[in-house]
Amino acid sequence: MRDLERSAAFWLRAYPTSWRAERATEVTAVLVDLVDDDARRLDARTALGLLRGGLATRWRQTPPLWVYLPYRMFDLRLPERYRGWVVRDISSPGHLRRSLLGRAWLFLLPVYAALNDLRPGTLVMWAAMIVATAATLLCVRPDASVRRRLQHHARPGWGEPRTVGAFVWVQTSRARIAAQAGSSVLVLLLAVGAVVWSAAALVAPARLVLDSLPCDLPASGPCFEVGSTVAARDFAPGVAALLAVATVVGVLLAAMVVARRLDRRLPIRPAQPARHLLGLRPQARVGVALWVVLVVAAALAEATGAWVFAVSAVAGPLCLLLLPSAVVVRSRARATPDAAFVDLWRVAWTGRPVAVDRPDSELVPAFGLEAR
Amino acid sequence: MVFRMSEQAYFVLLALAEEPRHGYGIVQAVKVLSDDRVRLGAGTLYGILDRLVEAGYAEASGEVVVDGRLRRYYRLTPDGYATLAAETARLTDLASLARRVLAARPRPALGTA
Repeated sequence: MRDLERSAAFWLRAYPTSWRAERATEVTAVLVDLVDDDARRLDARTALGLLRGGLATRWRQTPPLWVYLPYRMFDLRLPERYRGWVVRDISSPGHLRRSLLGRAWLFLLPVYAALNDLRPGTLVMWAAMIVATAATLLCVRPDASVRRRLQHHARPGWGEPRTVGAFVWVQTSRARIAAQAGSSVLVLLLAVGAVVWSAAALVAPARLVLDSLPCDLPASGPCFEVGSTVAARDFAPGVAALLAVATVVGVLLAAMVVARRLDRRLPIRPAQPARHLLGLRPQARVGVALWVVLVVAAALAEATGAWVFAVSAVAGPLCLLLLPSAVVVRSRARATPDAAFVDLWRVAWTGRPVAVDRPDSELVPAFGLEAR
Repeated sequence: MVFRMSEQAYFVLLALAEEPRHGYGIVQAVKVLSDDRVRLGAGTLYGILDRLVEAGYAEASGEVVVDGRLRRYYRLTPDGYATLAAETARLTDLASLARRVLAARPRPALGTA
């Protein structure tokens, strides 16, 4: 690259990235034509002109504050003239961070309440919520988020003229999570939940007891208030029986209902011409690991008495009930690698045949117009 | 969106009204049309072209590569021609008005200051 072109590239940085991607080559050619043959860098007048032009272009393409704030805070659609800007905002790196920061105001009230009531329990709950949110975001494909937001913000409005370059709807293949990937995660989470929450349900040393307390206020008749206190908890045979029943029912459900449904419906599943299968994104492993850590931490909190016996009473039996069915789904998924997780889930849950996916809708820029 | 018609933008419209031109061609044409009075820099030129395209008065009409340099051609749209004609009519009316005012102005008598 010549010194002059390097100088032009430097001053063209005043323009937005998308503008440069489209016009930089063209403008550089004009700049090279305009300057003297022996010039090695742009003169001050030309450089200032580019600086002013770049700032003006940035200003012209950016929506004003009264348009920007409703978009950022409430995800409202922008007027058509800012469509290019919003497409670049959604498609460029860091869109998820910008989108989340724009909704940060939703957490102002809970954060304010938490700061006014700083207790270890509150802090732990907030930390757990943040980890759960991060774990979920790691499992979600960013392109799916981009696609959903583009469909909301870039779709053509009613009566808008159709022009080359404007977004138009087309039919496209539908993305589905592969059965093997989805069922593996399901089995892992249910297995971890079944083990740790069942153990916590058996050994949790603290429980909540409802008490009737005397009233503070003077009353003419009998008066009491219902309150709660934490009491010690011994081994409860009822909980052990509940876990055993959940296990037996879960195994019977998996063997007699789920397995039969899958074996009857999966061999005659239809072809899926409008679908493509996806695995989990690499970061999803970290997300699933974080969920496992959260589940184990919650169970440990109950097992050690830091939390009272509550979640494990429901989560333990529920995981034991569902785990055998998930194992059956996982085994059938290995035998049908071309199936989607949603197929097996629906057959196992409803017993209905596998449905043929309809094509998905996608927004793409129109590269030509055709009269019909 | 209201298009602000500056003198430079008017000359760019005039240059494109003659024939489709690329960026450097527009700069040269404006220089000739204005008797070397208006010299467009690249920043100013592309600011005007962006605004003309956004307003629907001009559009890209093709690209060629000459000596390894990309040249994108621009041409006026029907709206661009109409706007140029309207602006020319406005300037003509303004010039006519100015001529009438100047013609009606009493000439100073000889020997007076």
